[in-house]
Amino acid sequence: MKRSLFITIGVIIVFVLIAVWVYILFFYTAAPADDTFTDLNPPNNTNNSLAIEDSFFAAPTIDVGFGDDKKIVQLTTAQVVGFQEVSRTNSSTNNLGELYYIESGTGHIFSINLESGEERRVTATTIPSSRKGVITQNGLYTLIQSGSGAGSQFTVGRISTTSASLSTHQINDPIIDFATTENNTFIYLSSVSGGLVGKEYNPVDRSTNTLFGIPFNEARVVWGQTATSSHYVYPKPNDQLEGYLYKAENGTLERLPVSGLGLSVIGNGEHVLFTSRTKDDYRSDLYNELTGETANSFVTVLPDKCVSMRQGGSFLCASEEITFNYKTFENWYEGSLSYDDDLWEIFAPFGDISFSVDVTRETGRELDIINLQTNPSNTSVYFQNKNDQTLWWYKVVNLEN
Amino acid sequence: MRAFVILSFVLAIFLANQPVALAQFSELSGGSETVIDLRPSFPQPGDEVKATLNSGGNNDLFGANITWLLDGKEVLSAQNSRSFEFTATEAGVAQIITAILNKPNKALKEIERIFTPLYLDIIFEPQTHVPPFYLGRSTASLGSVVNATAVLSGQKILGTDLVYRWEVGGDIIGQGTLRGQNKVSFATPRGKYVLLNLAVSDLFGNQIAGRSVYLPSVAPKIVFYEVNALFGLKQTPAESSLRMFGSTLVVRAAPYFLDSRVYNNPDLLEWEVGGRVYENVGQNPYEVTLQRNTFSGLAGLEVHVRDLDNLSQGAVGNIDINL
Repeated sequence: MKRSLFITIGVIIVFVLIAVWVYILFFYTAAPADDTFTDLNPPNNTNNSLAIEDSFFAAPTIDVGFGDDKKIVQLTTAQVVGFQEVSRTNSSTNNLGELYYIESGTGHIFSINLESGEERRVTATTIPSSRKGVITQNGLYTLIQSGSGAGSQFTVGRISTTSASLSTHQINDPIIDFATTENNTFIYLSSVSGGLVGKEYNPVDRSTNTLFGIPFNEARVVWGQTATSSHYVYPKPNDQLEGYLYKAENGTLERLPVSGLGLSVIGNGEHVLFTSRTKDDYRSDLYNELTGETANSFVTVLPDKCVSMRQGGSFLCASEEITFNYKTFENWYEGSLSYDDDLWEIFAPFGDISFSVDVTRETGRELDIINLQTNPSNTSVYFQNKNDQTLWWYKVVNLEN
Repeated sequence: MRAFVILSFVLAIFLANQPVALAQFSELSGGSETVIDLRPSFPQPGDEVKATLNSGGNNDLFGANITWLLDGKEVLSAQNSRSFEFTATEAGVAQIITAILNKPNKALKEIERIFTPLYLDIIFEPQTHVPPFYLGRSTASLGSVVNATAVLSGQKILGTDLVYRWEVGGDIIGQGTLRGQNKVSFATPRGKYVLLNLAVSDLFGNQIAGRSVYLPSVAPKIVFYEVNALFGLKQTPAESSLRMFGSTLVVRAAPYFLDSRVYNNPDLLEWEVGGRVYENVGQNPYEVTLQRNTFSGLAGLEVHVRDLDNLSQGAVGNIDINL
């Protein structure tokens, strides 16, 4: 072929391509596709104000799982430092009330209606670096720890029913640990020369009442329901150091026949569930204060993961069926070990146990359960997941069914 | 006269060595008094106790019919035994052990031992550092201060106006007995386990309780935690590496079981990132804020804290930061 013929064919092809491009650019209309796209053209509207549905402003609603058979539901996605089922707004007929919780970091208090799941913010006063808090059962007062260690501050706040601001004042005692009572007061442990002292604080008149003294500093207290109830005192657990159990009652300490390496304890005034180290692992036992007898509990639990049920004398414990070794609890305290807990009920005084709920199957999550708390009617247990500090609800008795 | 002088000399020597001589005389005549020994010497409530007759070399037990009584009740299983075992009763309640020896010559001899089981609790409080969220008690490390408290209790906790003798690792604290000193502080001696002996006596010198316990000592270690500005320390440690998702990452090195004095005022506290000393340490010297730059990949993060006067009081920790 001649060279000129090649050039002619190439020019023709170029012209054809240019013609196709010009046609597509100016004259082509795409056929409507089956896909549906968002219509960004607003309808004709003579009103210049932006219309937003009311639901935009509504408080976020937590699916608390009513209407289904869920035994365990997640109440918050936020980190929580304290919570309490309160009774002052409980007007329902089925005894389901409101749950107040304190948000980590801000100290803001929120309320969750346990019937509807509606959540609202109760207080908007920020208490920076909130690390722990309690709320009285009447929902009127809160005690919040901000910061940690020697720099901690302890703020008492009055929760208003009409305003979102918290009326606050400080407790200046060097508080180590604190809780709330059935009588809507606070009980706390504070440092004094030579040890610790347990006190009751009435937030209404700001009066303080000394309850008992402890002759050492590294103490843990299992608080009773009221200031005058029995409280259990023991040195903080350490798998290589012996711990001893004391009962604080009527202003004095009494030594109970419970001791052991790595001792940790929960009690209800009549029975004590305690865990201590054997040679290679741990075991849990039940001590009956009335008979003075001790029986094995058959399942090893960490009392930090237990709560005393208010009726029936049993303990509800979170535990995982794993092989313990003597470092297990130290690793858990350190955070390098996490549990995949289920819930068990241990019946005092005989140590009979029953499996309450498969938490993983119920929630689809692996929960490392801490800070269990019952409500006054014993129908609910609230707890936190240690891994993310979220708040959960175990419906012991499903009042909806 | 000469005989008188010799007799006087012999008598003088005898009188000068009277105690030794009397003891020898006593031995010749059949040994010391028979007593009841207890093991442990100062039983606590609920302890398994072994009571044993100790004749001290005399002839009391030879051919004797032995009857044991515990709180007035005969222990039938211990008939004619030189020892028997029992469980100590509740705290603060006196127990009476009696052994009746019925000798072949029909002579009766009654030996009695009264003791009161008391709890003697020794609570160690090592002054070493652990993070605030750690629920347990810290462990001692070499040279760290340990506070020890003795709590003696019967039915109630007893007063502290007693005489205490503390011995730690072979050294007696305060060079002797200490009145009212139920709390002592000492530096942790060398050794993985340090033996502590405590004897408690009343003001008349009668020992009422005693215990020996071991104090464990471990090496300090460092664990890394991520810090959130709002929520504080994340309670799950970084095992071997931390991933940096945002533009900054705050990491805290938490020394465990480091002497609190060293923690608060370390001679050496040094951070290294990628092998280079990192100076960008904020108000808390145990925290560093890392900022992302153009580098990507793994960077080693290391912290070293140490007391230069006591080199065992220190630790090195390292993790990888995944950028």
